[in-house]
Amino acid sequence: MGLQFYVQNALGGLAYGSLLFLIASGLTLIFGLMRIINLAQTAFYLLGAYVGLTLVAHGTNFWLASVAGGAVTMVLGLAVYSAFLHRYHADHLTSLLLTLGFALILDDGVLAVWGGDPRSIAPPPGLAGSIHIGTLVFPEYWLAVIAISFTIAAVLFFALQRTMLGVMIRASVDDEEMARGLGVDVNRAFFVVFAAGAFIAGLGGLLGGPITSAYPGLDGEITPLAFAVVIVGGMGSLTGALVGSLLIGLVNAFGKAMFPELSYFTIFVPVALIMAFRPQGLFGRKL
Amino acid sequence: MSLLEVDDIHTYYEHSHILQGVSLQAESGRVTALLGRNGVGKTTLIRSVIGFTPPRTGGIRFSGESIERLPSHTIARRGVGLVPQGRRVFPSLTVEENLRLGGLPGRAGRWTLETVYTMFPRLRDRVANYGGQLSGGEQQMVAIGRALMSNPVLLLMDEPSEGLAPLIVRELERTMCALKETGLAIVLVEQNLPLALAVADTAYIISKGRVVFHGDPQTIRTDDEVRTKYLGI
Repeated sequence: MGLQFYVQNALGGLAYGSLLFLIASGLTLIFGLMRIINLAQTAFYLLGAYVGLTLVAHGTNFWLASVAGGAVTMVLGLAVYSAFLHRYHADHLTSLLLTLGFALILDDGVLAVWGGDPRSIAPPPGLAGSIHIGTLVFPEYWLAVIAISFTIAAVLFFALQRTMLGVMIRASVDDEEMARGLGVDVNRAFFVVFAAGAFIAGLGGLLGGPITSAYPGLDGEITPLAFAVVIVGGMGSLTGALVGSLLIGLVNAFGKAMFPELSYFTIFVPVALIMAFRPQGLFGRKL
Repeated sequence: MSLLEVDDIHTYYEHSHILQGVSLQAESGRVTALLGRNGVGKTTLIRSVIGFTPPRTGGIRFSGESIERLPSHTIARRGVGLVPQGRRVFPSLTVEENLRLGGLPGRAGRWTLETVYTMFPRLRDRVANYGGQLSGGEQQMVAIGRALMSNPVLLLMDEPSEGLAPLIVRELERTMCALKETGLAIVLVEQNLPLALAVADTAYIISKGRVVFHGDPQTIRTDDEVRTKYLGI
Protein backbone atom coordinates (compact mmCIF):
# COMPACT_ATOMS: atom_id res chain seq x y z
CA MET A 1 0.00 0.00 0.00
CA GLY A 2 1.75 3.09 -1.25
CA LEU A 3 1.26 6.75 -0.54
CA GLN A 4 -1.43 6.97 -3.19
CA PHE A 5 -3.52 4.47 -1.22
CA TYR A 6 -3.46 6.64 1.87
CA VAL A 7 -3.97 9.93 0.07
CA GLN A 8 -6.77 8.48 -2.01
CA ASN A 9 -8.62 7.07 0.98
CA ALA A 10 -7.96 10.08 3.17
CA LEU A 11 -9.37 12.40 0.53
CA GLY A 12 -12.26 10.06 -0.25
CA GLY A 13 -12.98 9.74 3.46
CA LEU A 14 -12.92 13.49 3.99
CA ALA A 15 -15.18 14.05 0.98
CA TYR A 16 -17.65 11.42 2.19
CA GLY A 17 -17.37 12.81 5.72
CA SER A 18 -18.17 16.27 4.35
CA LEU A 19 -21.37 14.89 2.88
CA LEU A 20 -22.17 13.22 6.19
CA PHE A 21 -21.77 16.61 7.84
CA LEU A 22 -24.45 18.08 5.59
CA ILE A 23 -26.85 15.44 6.93
CA ALA A 24 -25.63 15.15 10.50
CA SER A 25 -25.48 18.88 11.23
CA GLY A 26 -29.25 19.09 10.85
CA LEU A 27 -29.76 15.81 12.65
CA THR A 28 -27.79 16.89 15.70
CA LEU A 29 -29.30 20.39 15.92
CA ILE A 30 -32.84 19.08 15.47
CA PHE A 31 -32.23 16.54 18.19
CA GLY A 32 -30.47 19.01 20.49
CA LEU A 33 -33.27 21.54 20.18
CA MET A 34 -36.48 19.56 19.70
CA ARG A 35 -35.47 16.11 20.98
CA ILE A 36 -36.73 14.74 17.69
CA ILE A 37 -34.77 11.87 16.19
CA ASN A 38 -35.32 12.60 12.53
CA LEU A 39 -34.96 9.32 10.65
CA ALA A 40 -36.12 11.09 7.49
CA GLN A 41 -33.02 13.31 7.36
CA THR A 42 -31.23 11.00 4.90
CA ALA A 43 -34.42 10.63 2.88
CA PHE A 44 -34.28 14.43 2.55
CA TYR A 45 -30.81 13.95 1.08
CA LEU A 46 -32.11 11.37 -1.38
CA LEU A 47 -35.04 13.53 -2.43
CA GLY A 48 -32.68 16.47 -2.97
CA ALA A 49 -30.52 14.27 -5.19
CA TYR A 50 -33.44 13.20 -7.40
CA VAL A 51 -34.95 16.67 -7.68
CA GLY A 52 -31.50 17.97 -8.54
CA LEU A 53 -30.64 15.34 -11.13
CA THR A 54 -33.99 15.84 -12.84
CA LEU A 55 -33.36 19.57 -13.11
CA VAL A 56 -29.85 18.96 -14.41
CA ALA A 57 -31.26 16.57 -17.02
CA HIS A 58 -33.51 19.41 -18.17
CA GLY A 59 -30.56 21.71 -18.57
CA THR A 60 -30.42 23.49 -15.22
CA ASN A 61 -27.04 24.55 -13.90
CA PHE A 62 -25.65 21.97 -11.43
CA TRP A 63 -25.27 24.41 -8.52
CA LEU A 64 -28.65 25.98 -9.08
CA ALA A 65 -30.19 22.51 -9.22
CA SER A 66 -28.54 21.65 -5.87
CA VAL A 67 -30.06 24.72 -4.26
CA ALA A 68 -33.43 23.91 -5.82
CA GLY A 69 -33.16 20.36 -4.42
CA GLY A 70 -32.55 21.89 -1.01
CA ALA A 71 -35.48 24.28 -1.39
CA VAL A 72 -37.95 21.57 -2.43
CA THR A 73 -36.79 19.38 0.44
CA MET A 74 -37.10 22.25 2.88
CA VAL A 75 -40.68 22.97 1.85
CA LEU A 76 -41.60 19.30 2.19
CA GLY A 77 -39.76 18.99 5.49
CA LEU A 78 -41.53 22.04 6.92
CA ALA A 79 -44.88 20.68 5.78
CA VAL A 80 -44.19 17.42 7.63
CA TYR A 81 -42.94 19.34 10.64
CA SER A 82 -45.86 21.75 10.82
CA ALA A 83 -48.52 19.16 10.15
CA PHE A 84 -47.24 16.34 12.36
CA LEU A 85 -43.86 16.51 14.02
CA HIS A 86 -44.12 19.74 16.02
CA ARG A 87 -46.53 18.02 18.39
CA TYR A 88 -44.02 15.37 19.39
CA HIS A 89 -41.03 17.23 20.78
CA ALA A 90 -39.21 15.10 23.33
CA ASP A 91 -41.57 12.23 22.56
CA HIS A 92 -38.85 9.97 21.22
CA LEU A 93 -40.88 6.92 20.33
CA THR A 94 -43.62 8.79 18.49
CA SER A 95 -41.24 11.09 16.62
CA LEU A 96 -39.03 8.13 15.73
CA LEU A 97 -41.95 6.16 14.29
CA LEU A 98 -43.32 9.21 12.50
CA THR A 99 -40.02 10.09 10.85
CA LEU A 100 -39.36 6.44 9.99
CA GLY A 101 -42.78 6.39 8.32
CA PHE A 102 -41.96 9.50 6.33
CA ALA A 103 -38.59 8.07 5.35
CA LEU A 104 -40.34 4.98 3.96
CA ILE A 105 -42.96 7.07 2.16
CA LEU A 106 -40.27 9.27 0.61
CA ASP A 107 -38.27 6.21 -0.37
CA ASP A 108 -41.23 4.59 -2.09
CA GLY A 109 -42.23 7.92 -3.60
CA VAL A 110 -38.79 8.21 -5.16
CA LEU A 111 -39.10 4.65 -6.46
CA ALA A 112 -42.52 5.40 -7.96
CA VAL A 113 -41.48 8.64 -9.62
CA TRP A 114 -37.92 7.88 -10.73
CA GLY A 115 -37.81 4.09 -10.88
CA GLY A 116 -35.40 1.72 -9.19
CA ASP A 117 -32.34 2.00 -11.42
CA PRO A 118 -29.34 3.65 -9.81
CA ARG A 119 -28.63 7.06 -11.34
CA SER A 120 -25.04 8.07 -11.66
CA ILE A 121 -24.55 11.82 -11.50
CA ALA A 122 -21.74 13.54 -13.36
CA PRO A 123 -19.73 16.23 -11.61
CA PRO A 124 -20.41 19.71 -12.98
CA PRO A 125 -18.36 20.66 -16.01
CA GLY A 126 -14.99 22.03 -15.03
CA LEU A 127 -14.67 19.82 -11.97
CA ALA A 128 -14.72 16.43 -13.67
CA GLY A 129 -10.96 16.11 -13.90
CA SER A 130 -8.17 15.38 -11.46
CA ILE A 131 -5.20 17.27 -10.16
CA HIS A 132 -1.92 15.41 -10.49
CA ILE A 133 0.91 16.14 -8.11
CA GLY A 134 3.81 13.84 -8.83
CA THR A 135 2.30 10.38 -8.85
CA LEU A 136 -0.63 11.42 -6.65
CA VAL A 137 -4.08 11.96 -8.10
CA PHE A 138 -6.70 14.23 -6.51
CA PRO A 139 -10.18 14.19 -8.07
CA GLU A 140 -11.19 17.84 -8.32
CA TYR A 141 -14.76 17.23 -7.39
CA TRP A 142 -13.83 15.65 -4.07
CA LEU A 143 -11.84 18.74 -3.19
CA ALA A 144 -14.79 20.91 -4.23
CA VAL A 145 -17.22 18.95 -2.01
CA ILE A 146 -14.87 19.32 0.95
CA ALA A 147 -14.54 23.06 0.31
CA ILE A 148 -18.31 23.54 -0.03
CA SER A 149 -19.10 21.59 3.13
CA PHE A 150 -16.53 23.53 5.11
CA THR A 151 -18.01 26.76 3.81
CA ILE A 152 -21.49 25.65 4.90
CA ALA A 153 -20.05 24.61 8.27
CA ALA A 154 -18.47 28.06 8.62
CA VAL A 155 -21.80 29.74 7.84
CA LEU A 156 -23.57 27.54 10.41
CA PHE A 157 -20.94 28.25 13.06
CA PHE A 158 -21.20 31.95 12.39
CA ALA A 159 -24.99 31.87 12.61
CA LEU A 160 -24.90 29.89 15.84
CA GLN A 161 -22.07 31.77 17.58
CA ARG A 162 -22.39 35.32 16.31
CA THR A 163 -26.04 36.12 15.69
CA MET A 164 -28.94 36.75 18.05
CA LEU A 165 -30.81 33.86 16.43
CA GLY A 166 -27.84 31.65 17.30
CA VAL A 167 -27.92 32.87 20.90
CA MET A 168 -31.64 32.03 21.03
CA ILE A 169 -31.01 28.56 19.61
CA ARG A 170 -28.14 27.77 21.98
CA ALA A 171 -30.17 29.02 24.93
CA SER A 172 -33.10 26.83 23.87
CA VAL A 173 -30.83 23.79 23.58
CA ASP A 174 -29.54 24.52 27.12
CA ASP A 175 -32.87 25.16 28.80
CA GLU A 176 -35.91 25.53 26.60
CA GLU A 177 -38.32 26.51 29.37
CA MET A 178 -36.06 29.25 30.71
CA ALA A 179 -35.61 30.62 27.20
CA ARG A 180 -39.40 30.88 26.89
CA GLY A 181 -39.52 32.63 30.24
CA LEU A 182 -37.18 35.31 28.88
CA GLY A 183 -39.35 36.02 25.88
CA VAL A 184 -37.81 33.68 23.32
CA ASP A 185 -40.40 32.36 20.89
CA VAL A 186 -38.86 28.90 20.96
CA ASN A 187 -41.28 27.57 18.35
CA ARG A 188 -39.85 29.98 15.81
CA ALA A 189 -36.34 28.79 16.59
CA PHE A 190 -37.54 25.19 16.10
CA PHE A 191 -39.03 26.07 12.75
CA VAL A 192 -35.88 27.81 11.53
CA VAL A 193 -33.62 24.95 12.63
CA PHE A 194 -35.82 22.29 11.06
CA ALA A 195 -35.93 24.31 7.83
CA ALA A 196 -32.16 24.79 7.78
CA GLY A 197 -31.56 21.09 8.53
CA ALA A 198 -33.86 19.94 5.74
CA PHE A 199 -32.45 22.49 3.30
CA ILE A 200 -28.83 21.54 3.88
CA ALA A 201 -29.55 17.80 3.67
CA GLY A 202 -31.51 18.33 0.44
CA LEU A 203 -28.75 20.55 -0.94
CA GLY A 204 -26.26 17.78 -0.14
CA GLY A 205 -28.19 15.30 -2.28
CA LEU A 206 -27.07 16.56 -5.67
CA LEU A 207 -23.70 17.76 -4.35
CA GLY A 208 -23.02 14.24 -3.12
CA GLY A 209 -24.49 12.63 -6.22
CA PRO A 210 -21.21 12.31 -8.12
CA ILE A 211 -19.80 10.49 -5.06
CA THR A 212 -22.71 8.41 -3.76
CA SER A 213 -24.89 8.33 -6.92
CA ALA A 214 -28.63 8.06 -6.24
CA TYR A 215 -30.86 5.02 -5.83
CA PRO A 216 -33.79 4.02 -3.64
CA GLY A 217 -32.36 2.66 -0.42
CA LEU A 218 -29.32 4.94 -0.42
CA ASP A 219 -30.84 6.84 2.48
CA GLY A 220 -31.12 3.66 4.51
CA GLU A 221 -27.43 3.01 3.92
CA ILE A 222 -26.38 6.47 5.06
CA THR A 223 -28.64 6.63 8.12
CA PRO A 224 -26.49 4.40 10.39
CA LEU A 225 -23.41 6.43 9.47
CA ALA A 226 -25.17 9.73 10.11
CA PHE A 227 -26.29 8.48 13.52
CA ALA A 228 -22.78 7.23 14.25
CA VAL A 229 -21.61 10.80 13.58
CA VAL A 230 -24.15 12.25 16.00
CA ILE A 231 -23.26 9.73 18.71
CA VAL A 232 -19.52 10.19 18.30
CA GLY A 233 -19.71 13.99 18.12
CA GLY A 234 -22.31 14.46 20.84
CA MET A 235 -25.98 15.26 20.35
CA GLY A 236 -26.70 18.93 19.83
CA SER A 237 -23.09 19.91 19.13
CA LEU A 238 -22.25 21.37 15.74
CA THR A 239 -18.52 21.05 16.42
CA GLY A 240 -19.18 17.42 17.30
CA ALA A 241 -21.03 16.91 14.03
CA LEU A 242 -18.11 18.32 12.05
CA VAL A 243 -15.39 16.35 13.84
CA GLY A 244 -17.58 13.22 13.97
CA SER A 245 -18.37 13.43 10.25
CA LEU A 246 -14.73 13.63 9.26
CA LEU A 247 -13.79 10.84 11.67
CA ILE A 248 -16.54 8.52 10.50
CA GLY A 249 -15.81 9.41 6.89
CA LEU A 250 -12.15 8.48 7.30
CA VAL A 251 -12.82 5.32 9.30
CA ASN A 252 -15.40 4.31 6.69
CA ALA A 253 -13.03 4.85 3.79
CA PHE A 254 -10.05 3.10 5.33
CA GLY A 255 -12.21 0.36 6.84
CA LYS A 256 -13.76 -0.44 3.47
CA ALA A 257 -10.38 -0.39 1.74
CA MET A 258 -8.48 -2.45 4.28
CA PHE A 259 -11.12 -4.77 5.74
CA PRO A 260 -13.94 -4.73 3.19
CA GLU A 261 -15.70 -7.69 4.79
CA LEU A 262 -15.72 -5.87 8.17
CA SER A 263 -16.77 -2.40 7.02
CA TYR A 264 -19.62 -1.94 9.50
CA PHE A 265 -17.51 -3.41 12.28
CA THR A 266 -14.76 -0.83 11.81
CA ILE A 267 -17.29 1.99 12.17
CA PHE A 268 -19.33 0.70 15.05
CA VAL A 269 -16.47 -0.43 17.25
CA PRO A 270 -15.43 3.20 17.80
CA VAL A 271 -19.11 4.09 18.30
CA ALA A 272 -19.52 1.36 20.89
CA LEU A 273 -16.35 2.47 22.68
CA ILE A 274 -17.56 6.08 22.78
CA MET A 275 -20.93 4.99 24.14
CA ALA A 276 -19.24 2.91 26.82
CA PHE A 277 -16.66 5.46 27.98
CA ARG A 278 -18.05 8.83 26.94
CA PRO A 279 -21.79 8.45 26.44
CA GLN A 280 -22.29 12.18 25.83
CA GLY A 281 -19.98 11.97 22.78
CA LEU A 282 -16.78 13.91 22.14
CA PHE A 283 -18.35 17.37 22.29
CA GLY A 284 -21.72 16.70 23.91
CA ARG A 285 -22.71 17.94 27.32
CA LYS A 286 -22.86 15.50 30.23
CA LEU A 287 -25.95 13.33 30.10
CA MET B 1 -56.28 47.70 40.91
CA SER B 2 -53.00 45.98 41.66
CA LEU B 3 -50.28 45.36 39.10
CA LEU B 4 -50.54 41.61 39.60
CA GLU B 5 -53.75 39.98 40.74
CA VAL B 6 -53.80 36.25 41.25
CA ASP B 7 -57.37 35.15 41.72
CA ASP B 8 -58.22 31.76 43.20
CA ILE B 9 -55.88 29.69 41.03
CA HIS B 10 -55.65 25.91 41.08
CA THR B 11 -52.48 24.51 39.57
CA TYR B 12 -51.63 20.85 39.04
CA TYR B 13 -48.55 18.81 38.19
CA GLU B 14 -50.08 15.86 36.37
CA HIS B 15 -52.56 14.69 38.98
CA SER B 16 -51.12 16.41 42.04
CA HIS B 17 -53.21 19.36 43.08
CA ILE B 18 -50.46 21.79 44.15
CA LEU B 19 -52.13 25.20 44.40
CA GLN B 20 -55.60 24.87 45.87
CA GLY B 21 -57.15 28.26 45.38
CA VAL B 22 -54.44 30.86 45.88
CA SER B 23 -55.16 34.57 45.62
CA LEU B 24 -52.68 37.39 46.07
CA GLN B 25 -51.75 40.85 44.85
CA ALA B 26 -48.47 42.58 44.15
CA GLU B 27 -47.96 46.34 43.77
CA SER B 28 -45.45 48.51 41.97
CA GLY B 29 -42.56 49.72 44.11
CA ARG B 30 -43.19 47.05 46.72
CA VAL B 31 -41.71 43.69 47.60
CA THR B 32 -44.27 40.96 48.16
CA ALA B 33 -42.74 38.03 50.00
CA LEU B 34 -44.06 34.47 49.66
CA LEU B 35 -43.06 32.39 52.63
CA GLY B 36 -43.66 28.86 53.70
CA ARG B 37 -41.96 25.52 54.14
CA ASN B 38 -40.52 23.51 51.29
CA GLY B 39 -42.97 21.92 48.90
CA VAL B 40 -46.01 24.05 49.77
CA GLY B 41 -46.33 25.52 46.28
CA LYS B 42 -44.34 28.76 46.30
CA THR B 43 -42.34 27.88 43.21
CA THR B 44 -45.49 26.55 41.56
CA LEU B 45 -47.07 29.95 42.07
CA ILE B 46 -44.13 31.63 40.32
CA ARG B 47 -44.36 29.03 37.52
CA SER B 48 -48.08 29.71 37.18
CA VAL B 49 -47.55 33.45 36.77
CA ILE B 50 -44.81 33.12 34.12
CA GLY B 51 -46.85 30.47 32.29
CA PHE B 52 -44.55 27.46 32.73
CA THR B 53 -47.29 25.61 34.60
CA PRO B 54 -50.53 27.46 33.81
CA PRO B 55 -53.31 27.19 36.36
CA ARG B 56 -56.14 24.82 35.50
CA THR B 57 -58.73 27.21 36.91
CA GLY B 58 -58.67 30.72 38.27
CA GLY B 59 -57.33 33.96 36.80
CA ILE B 60 -54.09 35.91 36.72
CA ARG B 61 -54.31 39.56 35.76
CA PHE B 62 -51.24 41.62 34.98
CA SER B 63 -51.62 45.37 34.34
CA GLY B 64 -55.35 44.68 34.15
CA GLU B 65 -55.16 42.00 31.45
CA SER B 66 -55.66 38.27 31.81
CA ILE B 67 -52.41 36.40 31.21
CA GLU B 68 -53.19 32.93 32.54
CA ARG B 69 -53.68 31.46 29.06
CA LEU B 70 -50.79 33.24 27.34
CA PRO B 71 -47.55 31.46 26.37
CA SER B 72 -44.55 32.26 28.58
CA HIS B 73 -42.69 34.27 25.96
CA THR B 74 -45.66 36.61 25.56
CA ILE B 75 -45.96 37.06 29.32
CA ALA B 76 -42.25 37.87 29.50
CA ARG B 77 -42.55 40.39 26.67
CA ARG B 78 -45.34 42.18 28.48
CA GLY B 79 -42.97 43.00 31.31
CA VAL B 80 -42.66 40.05 33.68
CA GLY B 81 -39.02 39.28 34.55
CA LEU B 82 -37.97 35.98 36.10
CA VAL B 83 -35.04 35.14 38.38
CA PRO B 84 -35.69 31.42 38.64
CA GLN B 85 -34.88 28.95 41.34
CA GLY B 86 -31.40 27.54 40.72
CA ARG B 87 -30.59 30.63 38.60
CA ARG B 88 -30.67 28.71 35.32
CA VAL B 89 -27.91 30.71 33.67
CA PHE B 90 -27.36 29.29 30.18
CA PRO B 91 -24.04 27.41 30.27
CA SER B 92 -23.46 27.61 26.49
CA LEU B 93 -23.87 31.39 26.48
CA THR B 94 -21.35 33.95 27.64
CA VAL B 95 -22.29 36.41 30.37
CA GLU B 96 -22.92 39.07 27.77
CA GLU B 97 -25.01 36.71 25.63
CA ASN B 98 -27.07 35.73 28.67
CA LEU B 99 -27.74 39.41 29.32
CA ARG B 100 -28.47 40.24 25.69
CA LEU B 101 -30.92 37.37 25.52
CA GLY B 102 -32.67 38.89 28.54
CA GLY B 103 -33.01 42.12 26.56
CA LEU B 104 -34.74 40.31 23.72
CA PRO B 105 -38.26 41.58 24.53
CA GLY B 106 -36.90 44.97 23.41
CA ARG B 107 -38.68 47.00 26.05
CA ALA B 108 -37.16 50.43 26.51
CA GLY B 109 -36.15 51.58 29.96
CA ARG B 110 -33.29 52.25 32.30
CA TRP B 111 -31.74 48.79 32.02
CA THR B 112 -29.10 48.24 29.37
CA LEU B 113 -25.85 46.26 29.32
CA GLU B 114 -24.16 49.38 30.64
CA THR B 115 -26.49 49.95 33.61
CA VAL B 116 -26.43 46.24 34.51
CA TYR B 117 -22.62 46.33 34.55
CA THR B 118 -22.78 49.45 36.71
CA MET B 119 -24.96 47.61 39.20
CA PHE B 120 -22.81 44.45 39.08
CA PRO B 121 -19.27 45.65 38.26
CA ARG B 122 -17.95 42.11 38.70
CA LEU B 123 -19.81 40.99 35.56
CA ARG B 124 -17.86 43.45 33.45
CA ASP B 125 -14.75 41.34 34.02
CA ARG B 126 -16.63 38.22 33.06
CA VAL B 127 -18.39 39.28 29.85
CA ALA B 128 -16.73 36.61 27.72
CA ASN B 129 -16.95 33.81 30.30
CA TYR B 130 -19.51 31.09 29.77
CA GLY B 131 -22.36 30.62 32.22
CA GLY B 132 -20.92 27.36 33.48
CA GLN B 133 -17.63 29.01 34.50
CA LEU B 134 -19.12 31.39 37.05
CA SER B 135 -19.33 31.24 40.83
CA GLY B 136 -22.75 30.97 42.46
CA GLY B 137 -22.75 34.66 43.32
CA GLU B 138 -21.80 35.65 39.80
CA GLN B 139 -24.49 33.40 38.37
CA GLN B 140 -27.02 35.11 40.60
CA MET B 141 -25.90 38.50 39.30
CA VAL B 142 -26.30 37.23 35.73
CA ALA B 143 -29.75 35.84 36.54
CA ILE B 144 -30.87 39.17 38.03
CA GLY B 145 -29.22 41.25 35.32
CA ARG B 146 -30.73 39.03 32.64
CA ALA B 147 -34.20 39.55 34.07
CA LEU B 148 -33.68 43.31 34.37
CA MET B 149 -32.51 43.62 30.75
CA SER B 150 -36.12 43.27 29.60
CA ASN B 151 -37.01 46.34 31.69
CA PRO B 152 -39.78 44.46 33.49
CA VAL B 153 -42.46 46.08 35.61
CA LEU B 154 -42.81 42.91 37.68
CA LEU B 155 -39.85 40.83 38.84
CA LEU B 156 -40.40 37.27 40.06
CA MET B 157 -37.51 36.12 42.24
CA ASP B 158 -37.42 32.51 43.37
CA GLU B 159 -34.92 31.81 46.16
CA PRO B 160 -32.35 34.35 45.00
CA SER B 161 -30.20 33.88 48.14
CA GLU B 162 -29.94 30.10 47.75
CA GLY B 163 -26.34 28.94 47.99
CA LEU B 164 -24.88 32.42 48.38
CA ALA B 165 -22.28 33.51 50.93
CA PRO B 166 -23.60 35.83 53.68
CA LEU B 167 -21.70 38.79 52.28
CA ILE B 168 -23.29 38.31 48.86
CA VAL B 169 -26.71 37.96 50.49
CA ARG B 170 -26.26 41.38 52.05
CA GLU B 171 -25.40 42.73 48.60
CA LEU B 172 -28.53 41.08 47.25
CA GLU B 173 -30.62 42.78 49.93
CA ARG B 174 -29.26 46.18 48.90
CA THR B 175 -29.92 45.34 45.25
CA MET B 176 -33.54 44.44 45.94
CA CYS B 177 -34.10 47.63 47.92
CA ALA B 178 -32.57 49.65 45.09
CA LEU B 179 -34.81 47.91 42.54
CA LYS B 180 -37.85 48.62 44.66
CA GLU B 181 -36.91 52.30 44.66
CA THR B 182 -37.14 52.30 40.86
CA GLY B 183 -40.82 51.41 41.09
CA LEU B 184 -40.40 47.74 40.21
CA ALA B 185 -42.85 45.28 41.75
CA ILE B 186 -41.02 42.29 43.21
CA VAL B 187 -42.55 38.96 44.14
CA LEU B 188 -39.99 37.23 46.31
CA VAL B 189 -39.94 33.56 47.30
CA GLU B 190 -37.31 33.18 49.98
CA GLN B 191 -36.24 30.61 52.57
CA ASN B 192 -33.93 33.12 54.21
CA LEU B 193 -36.49 34.64 56.60
CA PRO B 194 -34.38 37.56 57.90
CA LEU B 195 -33.66 38.61 54.31
CA ALA B 196 -37.28 38.29 53.26
CA LEU B 197 -38.58 40.24 56.25
CA ALA B 198 -35.94 42.93 55.80
CA VAL B 199 -36.99 43.78 52.24
CA ALA B 200 -40.68 42.83 52.16
CA ASP B 201 -43.49 45.38 52.37
CA THR B 202 -46.13 42.70 52.58
CA ALA B 203 -45.97 38.96 53.12
CA TYR B 204 -47.99 35.88 52.35
CA ILE B 205 -47.48 32.54 54.02
CA ILE B 206 -48.47 29.52 51.97
CA SER B 207 -49.15 26.14 53.48
CA LYS B 208 -50.29 23.04 51.60
CA GLY B 209 -51.26 25.02 48.52
CA ARG B 210 -53.27 27.69 50.31
CA VAL B 211 -52.60 31.17 51.64
CA VAL B 212 -52.78 30.91 55.44
CA PHE B 213 -51.47 34.33 56.36
CA HIS B 214 -51.38 37.70 54.65
CA GLY B 215 -50.14 40.82 56.32
CA ASP B 216 -47.36 42.96 57.61
CA PRO B 217 -43.93 41.29 57.70
CA GLN B 218 -43.55 42.87 61.13
CA THR B 219 -46.29 40.54 62.42
CA ILE B 220 -44.34 37.49 61.31
CA ARG B 221 -41.25 38.82 63.01
CA THR B 222 -43.05 39.29 66.33
CA ASP B 223 -45.74 36.61 66.31
CA ASP B 224 -44.18 33.37 67.52
CA GLU B 225 -47.34 31.40 66.88
CA VAL B 226 -47.46 32.28 63.18
CA ARG B 227 -43.78 31.44 62.84
CA THR B 228 -43.92 28.07 64.57
CA LYS B 229 -47.17 27.01 63.00
CA TYR B 230 -46.44 27.81 59.35
CA LEU B 231 -42.72 28.30 59.02
CA GLY B 232 -41.49 25.73 61.53
CA ILE B 233 -39.09 28.17 63.16
